[in-house]
Amino acid sequence: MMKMNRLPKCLHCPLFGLLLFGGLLFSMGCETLDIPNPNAPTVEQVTVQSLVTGVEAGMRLEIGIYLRVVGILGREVYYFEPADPRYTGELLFGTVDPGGFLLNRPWSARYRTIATCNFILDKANDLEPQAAAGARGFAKTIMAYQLLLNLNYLDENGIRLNFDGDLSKPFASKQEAFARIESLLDEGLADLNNAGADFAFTLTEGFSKWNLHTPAGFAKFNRAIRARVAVYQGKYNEALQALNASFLDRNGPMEMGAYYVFGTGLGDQPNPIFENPDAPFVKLMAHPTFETDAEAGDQRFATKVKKRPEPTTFDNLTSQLGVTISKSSTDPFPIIRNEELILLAAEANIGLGNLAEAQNDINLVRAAAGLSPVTLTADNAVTQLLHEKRYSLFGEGHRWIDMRRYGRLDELPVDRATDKVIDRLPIPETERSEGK
Amino acid sequence: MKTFKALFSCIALFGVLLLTSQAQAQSVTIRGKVITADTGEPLPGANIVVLGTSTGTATDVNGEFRLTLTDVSDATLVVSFIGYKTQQIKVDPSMVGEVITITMEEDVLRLNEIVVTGLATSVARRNLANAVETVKSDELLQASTQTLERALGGKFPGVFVSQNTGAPGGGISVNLRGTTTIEGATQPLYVIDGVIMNNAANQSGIDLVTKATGAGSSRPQGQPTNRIADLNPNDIESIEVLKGASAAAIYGAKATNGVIIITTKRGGLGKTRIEINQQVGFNSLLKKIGSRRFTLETATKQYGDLGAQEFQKSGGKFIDYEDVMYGEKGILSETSISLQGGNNRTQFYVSGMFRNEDGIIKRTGYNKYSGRVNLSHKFSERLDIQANINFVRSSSDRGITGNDNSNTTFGFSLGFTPSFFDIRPKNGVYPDHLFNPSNPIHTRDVLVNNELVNRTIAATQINWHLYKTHNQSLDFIINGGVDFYNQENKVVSPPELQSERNADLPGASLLATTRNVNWNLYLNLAHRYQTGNNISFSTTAGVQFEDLDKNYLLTEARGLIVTQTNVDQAATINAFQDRFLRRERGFYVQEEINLQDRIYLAFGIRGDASSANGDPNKIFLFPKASASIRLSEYKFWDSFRSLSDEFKLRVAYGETGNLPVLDAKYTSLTPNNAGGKAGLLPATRRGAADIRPERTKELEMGFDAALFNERASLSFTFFNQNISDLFLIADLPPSSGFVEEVINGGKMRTRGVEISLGLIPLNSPNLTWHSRINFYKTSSVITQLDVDPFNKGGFATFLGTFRIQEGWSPTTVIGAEMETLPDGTRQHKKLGDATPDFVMSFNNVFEFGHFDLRFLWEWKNGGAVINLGKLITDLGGTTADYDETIVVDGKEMKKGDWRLSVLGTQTAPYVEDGSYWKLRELSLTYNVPRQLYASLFGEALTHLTLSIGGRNLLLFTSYTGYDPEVSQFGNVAIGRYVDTLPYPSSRSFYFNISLGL
Repeated sequence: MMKMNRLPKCLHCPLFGLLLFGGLLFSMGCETLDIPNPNAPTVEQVTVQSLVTGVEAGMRLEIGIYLRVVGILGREVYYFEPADPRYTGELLFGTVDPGGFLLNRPWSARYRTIATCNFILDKANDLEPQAAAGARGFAKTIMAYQLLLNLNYLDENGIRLNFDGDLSKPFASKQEAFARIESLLDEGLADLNNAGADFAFTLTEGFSKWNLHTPAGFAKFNRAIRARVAVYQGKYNEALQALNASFLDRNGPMEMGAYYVFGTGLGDQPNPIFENPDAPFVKLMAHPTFETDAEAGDQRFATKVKKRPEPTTFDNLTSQLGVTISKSSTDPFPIIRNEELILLAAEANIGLGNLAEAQNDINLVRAAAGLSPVTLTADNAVTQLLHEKRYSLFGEGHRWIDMRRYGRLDELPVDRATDKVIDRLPIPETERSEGK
Repeated sequence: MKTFKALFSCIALFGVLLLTSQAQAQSVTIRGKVITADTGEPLPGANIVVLGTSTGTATDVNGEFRLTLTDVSDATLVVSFIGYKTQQIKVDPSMVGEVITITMEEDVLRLNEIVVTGLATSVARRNLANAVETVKSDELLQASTQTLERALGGKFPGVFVSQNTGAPGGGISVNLRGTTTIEGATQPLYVIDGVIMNNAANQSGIDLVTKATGAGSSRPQGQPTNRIADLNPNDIESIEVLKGASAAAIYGAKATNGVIIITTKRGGLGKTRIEINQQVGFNSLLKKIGSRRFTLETATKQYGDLGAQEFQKSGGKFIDYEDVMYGEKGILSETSISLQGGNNRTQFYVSGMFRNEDGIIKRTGYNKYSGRVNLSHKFSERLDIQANINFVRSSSDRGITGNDNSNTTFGFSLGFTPSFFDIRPKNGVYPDHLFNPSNPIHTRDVLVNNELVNRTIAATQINWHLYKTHNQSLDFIINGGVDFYNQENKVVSPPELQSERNADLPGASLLATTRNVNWNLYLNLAHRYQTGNNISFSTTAGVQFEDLDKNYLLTEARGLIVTQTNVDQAATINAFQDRFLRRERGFYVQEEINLQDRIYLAFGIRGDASSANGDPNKIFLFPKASASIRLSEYKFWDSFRSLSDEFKLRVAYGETGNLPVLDAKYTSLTPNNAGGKAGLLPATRRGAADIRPERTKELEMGFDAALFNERASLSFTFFNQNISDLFLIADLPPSSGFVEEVINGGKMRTRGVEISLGLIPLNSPNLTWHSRINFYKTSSVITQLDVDPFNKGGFATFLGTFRIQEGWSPTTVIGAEMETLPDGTRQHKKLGDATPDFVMSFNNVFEFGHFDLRFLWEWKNGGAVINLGKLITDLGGTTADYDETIVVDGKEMKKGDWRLSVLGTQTAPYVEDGSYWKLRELSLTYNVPRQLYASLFGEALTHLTLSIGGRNLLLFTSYTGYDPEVSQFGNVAIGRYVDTLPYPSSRSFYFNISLGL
C-alpha cells in the first residue's frame, strides 16, 4: 500500500494560498501593456535626420503628376497615357474630377510632407537652441514651399491652412494662403539666421551640390522661394530684396539651385519625368507650338526636346517632340534655380518700370541660350519675359501659372474644338465640409 | 497602470470569508454500488453527494462507494455520472449495514450534463440559463475527419462550419450566431484545457506566385489553413460551444465570436485500457463543373486559326481535364492508439496518432503525427494537479489553386484549356500551353506548396482546496499553459515552368516562417456555500494574464538556379517581416445562486485591458446576468407533466468585445529614402489613439423542455445582439497628412432563432432510433454608419462585392446594376445576400442488434455566392454551358457570349444561389459480439468494432461551381462566398477497425 505523500504543512493553510495568489498577481500585474509598434517606428522613436530625409523624399512624391498636370494645363506638354484617358481628357477641356488622382495625389503628398515638417517642429523642442533653430528653419521653409505648390494648383479656390483634419474650419483664401506662406518663410529665415554654421542634420546632394545645405545656404534657398512668392503677388520691391539675399548669381551657371534627387535604390524613387527618348512610344511629349514658337538657334529648344522620327497621335492630339529635360532615371529635377531667379529679377524690374535692368537680365539669359539681345519696351516687356520663361523653364511647372498671373490664359493654344483652358483646379472632394 | 494594480490587489483580498465551525454529531456509514441499467456493469467514478451539503465521494474501480453521514434522518444521496440521468436516493435507516444498489439510466437528452459556466465553475444542464452546446467524443467523431473543425459541422444550431477551400489541411470558418463585425476578427476563441489556442491563419506567400495580391497586402488570398486544425480529434473528450455574448461574457474582450472550450481525455480508474484504431479509405472529387464540348466552328470562333488548327490536329477529341487534374483517388489512412488508466492517486491518458491523407490532385495531401500525455495526480485530499502535453507535426501539400493574376493556378489554367488541346506530357516532355501562359499539368508535377507545422501545447491545472466544511468550501485554481508552434511554408516555382520561363527572373522560391508563442495564466478563487434548505452560492473571482507573440518572416527569392530551391540560390532576395505582440490583463467576479435546483441566477463582470486598445491601461468592463426557472419543479406543473416532465425558461444578457486590429492604434512611419539616406514619412493611416474594442450586447431567451416522458426534447432560443463601436476605415482629409484612420463608428444588429428538437422515435431492446433536428436562422442589419456607404470584400463592383450601407444587411451582394428608387435616388441593386435564410441539420442514430447506423444531413437554404469561377471559364471559353442558348430581347445568344457581353453592366449572371443539401457524415458500425472473437483472443480483447462510413458523401445543389462552401478571402467577416476556383471539395470513404485491450 502506497503511503500518502507528506506535504509541507503550509499547503493546508488557506492563508498561505491566498498569499501565493496575491504574490502571483503582483508580479504579473507589473508588466506594461504599452507595447510600441513592433513593425514600424513611431514619431517618438526616430531622429530629426530621418524625418528631414523623409521630407526631402516626400517633396518628390507625386511630383511627376504635378509637373504633368500643370504642363498640360499650360499647353507645354501632352501626356499620352493609354491606361488613363484623363490626361488627354478632363485636363484639356474640364471639368476636373474633384475626387480624381490628378488633383488628389499631389495635393495629399504635399500635406503629408507638411505633416512630417510638423513632426520636425515638435522634435525641435527637445534639441539644443542652435540645432532647434536649424530644424525649424528647414521645416518652415519646406512647409511654405509645399503650400505654394498646392496654391498653384487651386489658385483662387484657396487651400487648407489647418492641418488637424478638422473640416469645419474654413478653407483659406488665396490671400490668406500667401500671407501664411510669407510668414512661414520669414520665420524660417529668422530661425536659419540663429542656427549657427551647420545644421544638426545633413541634406542630400539636391541642396549640397550648390552649397545650400548649411543654415546660411538654406537661407538663400528660403529667399529664392520668397522672391517667387513676392513676384506672384506683384510685390516687386520685396522680390528684389529677397533676391539679393538669395543664391542669385548673374555670373553663375543657370542650373545652379536646389533640386529633387532621385535614385533606384531600396525605398528610393526614380525620376518620374525621364523616359527613354528612343523608345517606340513615349508618353510625355511637348506641345507642337513649342517648336513653332521657338526662335532659330535657341539652344533651350534643342536641349529640352528631341524631335522623333515619326509624330505620335493619341486622342486626336499629335506631337513629334519627346521631352528630354531629364536625362536619366536618377537625374535630379530643379526646385528653383539661378535661371529662374534672374528672370524673377527681370520680372520685378519690369513691374517697377526699370526696363534697363530687366533688359540686361533677359539678355543675359538669352546669351546663355545662344540668342542675340533684345530691346525691351513698355509694350513688349511682359511678352518677352513670358517667352523667355517659357523656354528657360520648360516643363518645370511655370508656364500655366505665369500666364494665369498676367490674365493671358486665353492666349494659350487649344487643339480640339471642345478644348478649353482651365484656370484652376477644384477643391478636392475629401477637403469639403459639405455633407460631413 | 495604477488603477489596474489596485484592482488586482482588491481581488487578491477577496476570499476572506466566514469560517464556521463544523458541527459534531453521531455518524453512520452507507455502502453502495452503482451500476448501469443497460449492461449491469459497475460504474467507476460516479459522484455521490449528500443533497444540500458538500459532503460526498466517488465510486471506486468496482463501482462501489462508502459514505459517512452525520445524520441519516432526512438525508438524500444525489448520484451522478456524465452521460447518465442523475438519481436521488432518500436515505432510510434500513440502509445502514446493507450494500444498496443504484442503477443509472443513460441520459440521452443530456439534461444532467455538466456545463462549464465560468472559468472555475459548472452547472447541470437542467439549470443552465444559456443555450450552450456540448458534444462528446463519440458524437463528434461519427465519421472520420481530417481536422477537428469539420467534425463540428451540422452538430449544433447556431454553429455554421464552412470551408474556404477543399485543399488538404483545411481553411475552415466556424461562425457562431451570424455576422458580428465588418473589419474585426471573425473566429471564435478556442480554449483547450484552459489554454487559449492560437487559431491564426498564416499566409504561405503563394500570392507572390499567383500575383493575386502583393506581399503584405491587407487582403491576402493565399487561402491559408487555420491552426486549430492541428488538434488530434481522437484526444477530445468533449467540446462546449458558448455561442453568444451572454454565455461568453466571462471571456470578455475577445469573445464576441463566441468561445469553443475543448476538454481532452483523462485517465481513468482501474485496469489500463488500450484502444487501437485503424482506418483506411480514400478521397475523390465531390462534384464536377464540366467543360465545353467544341466543334470546329466553335473552336475557330473562340480561339481563331490557332483553335482551328489544334482542333483538327487532335481530331476534336474531348479530354476531361477534371479527371486528369482532380481525378486522383487520394488514399487516407489513420492509425491511433491510446492508453487510459491509473489508480486513486495518479491517472494517465497517453495517445499517439498518425494520419496520412492524399488529395484528389496528384502531389497534394495532408499528414499529421500527434502525441499526447495527460496526467493527473492527487497529492492529498486538498491538492491535485493535472498536466497535459501535446506535440503535433503536420504537413500539407496544397498545390496552387484559387485566385490568380498570372494564370498559373490549376483552376484558372484549366479554365483556359480547351478540351481538345492536349497538355499532358509525352515522353516526359510537357508541351507548352498555347492558350494559357502555363501548363497546369507541368505545374502540378513540379511546383511545391508545402506547409509544415511543429507545435507543442502544454496545459496545467492545479486545484487547491484551501478550506472545506460540510457546507462550504474555498478552492484556489491555477490554470494555464503555453501554445508554441513553428510553421514553415515553402513554395517553389521552378524556372523550367512555362510561366516562369518568360519572367525577368525565372524561378521563385518562397520561405515563410512563423514562430508563435502564446501563454495564459488564470488564477481563480472559488467559494461554494450551501444552506440547509438547499440553496447554494458559488462565488468565483480571478485574474487572467495572456501574451501573444508572433514573428512572421517571408523570404522571396527570384531567378532560381536550376534544380535549386534554397532562397540563397537565386538572383534576388526580398524579405518581409511582420511581428505581432499583444498583452492582456483581465479579471472577473461571478456569483451563481441555485435555489433548490428550481431557480438559477448568475451574474458577473469581466474587466479587460489590452495592449491593442488605444489606451492600453484602460479597463473595459463586460457585465453579464442570467436566470432560469424550472417550472416543472413546481406543483402547478402537474397538469402538464404528462406532456412535459421537464420545462425550463431562461433569459440571459451579456456583453463581449472584439479587440482592435493591432496596428490600428499606431501612427507609424514608413521608409522613404532619398539621396542614399534613410528617410521616414508618416504612413497614410493615422493611428487611432482612442480605439477601443467593438462591443456586442446580447440578450437571449428561450426554453428547454423534455417531452413525453423524456422521449423528446425541445430547445428554443431567440437572441438579439446589438453591436456597437464597429471598426470602420474612415477617410481623413489629406490636409491632415493622412488618408485614413480606423474608427469605432457604426452599429449593427444581429438576430436569430435556434431550435433543437431531440427525438427518440423508437426505443425497443432490438431497435433504437435517436434523432436530432437543428434549425437556425440569423439576420443582420447595419443600424448606424458613421462613414459613407462603401463596398467591401469583392474584387471590384462589376465583379460582385458586398455593400455596407445603413439599413442593409452587411452581407448584401451588389454588382454593376443600379436602380432608381421612387424618390429618384440612385442606388446599387441588391443581387442577393450571402447570409443563408436558414440552416437545418438532421442527425440520426439507429442501433439494432450489434449494428449502429449514424448519418448527418445539413441543409443550407439560401445564401448568395459570387461565382467568378464561371467568369474565368467564360473568359477562357470553356464553361460547360457556354453553347447553350438564351433568348435576350428576342435575340438568341449563347449563354457564355451573353454573360460576357453584359460584363461590366450586369453582375447578376455570376451571382448564384448557394443552397445545398449535404450528407455530411455516414457510418455503419458493427460491434462484433464477444463470443465471435473470444475463441481467438480470449479475454484479451474488451471490444472489437468494424465500421464503414464517409464524409461529404452527397451534395445536392443548383450551384454551378464546385461547392457553394467557398471563400477566396479566407475567414473574413464580409467577403466570404467569392468563388475563384479553389481546390475542389472531395468526399471521403473509409473503413475502420477498432479494438480495445
